[in-house]
Amino acid sequence: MSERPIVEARGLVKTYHKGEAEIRPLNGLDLDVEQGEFLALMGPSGSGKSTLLHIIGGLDKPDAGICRVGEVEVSAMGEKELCDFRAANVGFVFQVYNLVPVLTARDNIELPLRLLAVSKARRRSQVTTALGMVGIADRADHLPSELSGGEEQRVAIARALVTDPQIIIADEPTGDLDEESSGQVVDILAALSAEHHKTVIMVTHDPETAERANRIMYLHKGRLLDRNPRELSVKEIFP
Amino acid sequence: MMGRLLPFLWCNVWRNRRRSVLTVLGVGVAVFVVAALGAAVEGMTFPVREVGSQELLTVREAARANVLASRLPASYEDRVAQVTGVKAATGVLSDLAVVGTDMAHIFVRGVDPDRYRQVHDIVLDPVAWHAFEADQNVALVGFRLLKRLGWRVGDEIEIEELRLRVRIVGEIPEQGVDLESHMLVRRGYLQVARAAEGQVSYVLAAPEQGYRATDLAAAIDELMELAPVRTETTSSGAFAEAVIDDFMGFIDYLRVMGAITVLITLLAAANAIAMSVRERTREIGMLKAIGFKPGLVLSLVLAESVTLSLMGGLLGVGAAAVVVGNERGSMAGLMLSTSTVLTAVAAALLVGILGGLVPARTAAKVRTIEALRGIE
Repeated sequence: MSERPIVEARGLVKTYHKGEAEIRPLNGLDLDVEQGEFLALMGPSGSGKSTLLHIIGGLDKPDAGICRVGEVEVSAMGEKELCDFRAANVGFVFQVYNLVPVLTARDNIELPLRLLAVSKARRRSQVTTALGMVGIADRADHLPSELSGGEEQRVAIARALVTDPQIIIADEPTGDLDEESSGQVVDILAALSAEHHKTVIMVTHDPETAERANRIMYLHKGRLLDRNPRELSVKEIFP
Repeated sequence: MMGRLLPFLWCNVWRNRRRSVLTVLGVGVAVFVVAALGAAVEGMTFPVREVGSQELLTVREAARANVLASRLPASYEDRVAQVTGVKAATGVLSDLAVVGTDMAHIFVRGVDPDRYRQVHDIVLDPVAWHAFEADQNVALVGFRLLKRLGWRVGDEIEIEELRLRVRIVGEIPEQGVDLESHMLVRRGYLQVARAAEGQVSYVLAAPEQGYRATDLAAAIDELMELAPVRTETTSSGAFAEAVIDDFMGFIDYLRVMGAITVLITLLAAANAIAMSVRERTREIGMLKAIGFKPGLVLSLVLAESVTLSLMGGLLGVGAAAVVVGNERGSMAGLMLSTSTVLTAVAAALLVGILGGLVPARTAAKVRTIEALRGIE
């Protein structure tokens, strides 16, 4: 693709202090994500996958480096700007679905549109479209407690895409699901990329889930590698 | 923004139905107590205030404890009548005589018939009144006095001490005021007899509805501050007001009890809302992730708290209205006035706002990333 990447990260650094110890999950990390790409991020726990996802999604800020999403530089935005940015441009899918338990599936999906002050008629049509894309229209009027885990996660994906965001960020979306539901959820994410040209960035521990992505990146010592470090020779790791 | 989120707000209010119902009931009970205590206070002070406003004011010469020694220019009645809040005023020349073999004391009041009736609503046979108006050396005598002295209507009597010679033209019947043992004569006649032309002992003034006797008394004395003869005004209502003052300690006690009830409910409501916020920390994290700003999160929680407490407030006021009734006298000694109702609703609102403030701030400050990870 010759277009400008939708996500462009350069030299991202993030440092945490845990007591005396200094942890640096991101250490000069570079990343380009193309429009419509389905990218899987892998790496051991605490390797900074979620931190990277949060920076791209405008939830967290790097200590150094630049991160651009679409036309805006999220790493330079203030709290309130980031709120507006997230509402309009980012769809979040979490490991625990985080649906509002007192709202029906339909109302959960509609919530971000209410926040964006979308008219009632448009809200209705967009919710219907989103329900169709995740294949859960027949469960629309049920409360989350009446849905299976897979159904809940599909509602969460519908909520993430209902605002037609520039990027969808999924943090271990299949982590709490059985094999069958996992497959369905990844199918939906893959279809969003392949058929609807949506950009999906997903963190996962599961190699099978990751295989469905266009590209897999591995976080290793605060940087990204495009091959699993376990498959690399010692020479390649310590040149 | 809040308007579009109203359905969401309403769902949040009933998220934990049992807890919400208990919170509403708690606020309801507190508001009921506030309204009921207010009704008791109103009921307690109302009869006294009502009587007080109908009481007459007595304007006499300052520093004369004895009314009989007091002397004011008769023209003061007009000056007093002009004071805002005074319905009518009349000068009275008062005197005391000892008559008969048993040395009976009789109080004689020299009055201007017309003006006196405007101030003093006396029950009297119209024929007798007409006769009193028509002549100068005539008298109306209280029935107790007639009985005591063995006088009869039509008798011509002489009170040597006062150089009075009058014909009794009527009897003042029983009416629950001290007139029953008084003798009314024409003021002009008594003034001449007592060599007190142009003078009165005191001015009687009737307040208009809604004016407090004590306030009027102060206003009259202030007006007369620079007059040739300074005045001192008292009201028989002053006595009633003194009674209220005695009650005040008890009324204050009731008010403190009401305030404590509200305070307890405040803490309970605050705890319920705080619990509700704690339980959905992760969800609040999600809301903030998808773009809810801290201010909006704060407003939502606060609105939730206010909604609960206002429902409780309406419940409490409704219950109080049923128990007390809003018509005067529907239940002995209680009276639910508009101001009491407003106070009770304001108490509910206060509970909602103060009780919700701390949890709402907690919610607004939820750290998104930590909350999403399930770390509090």
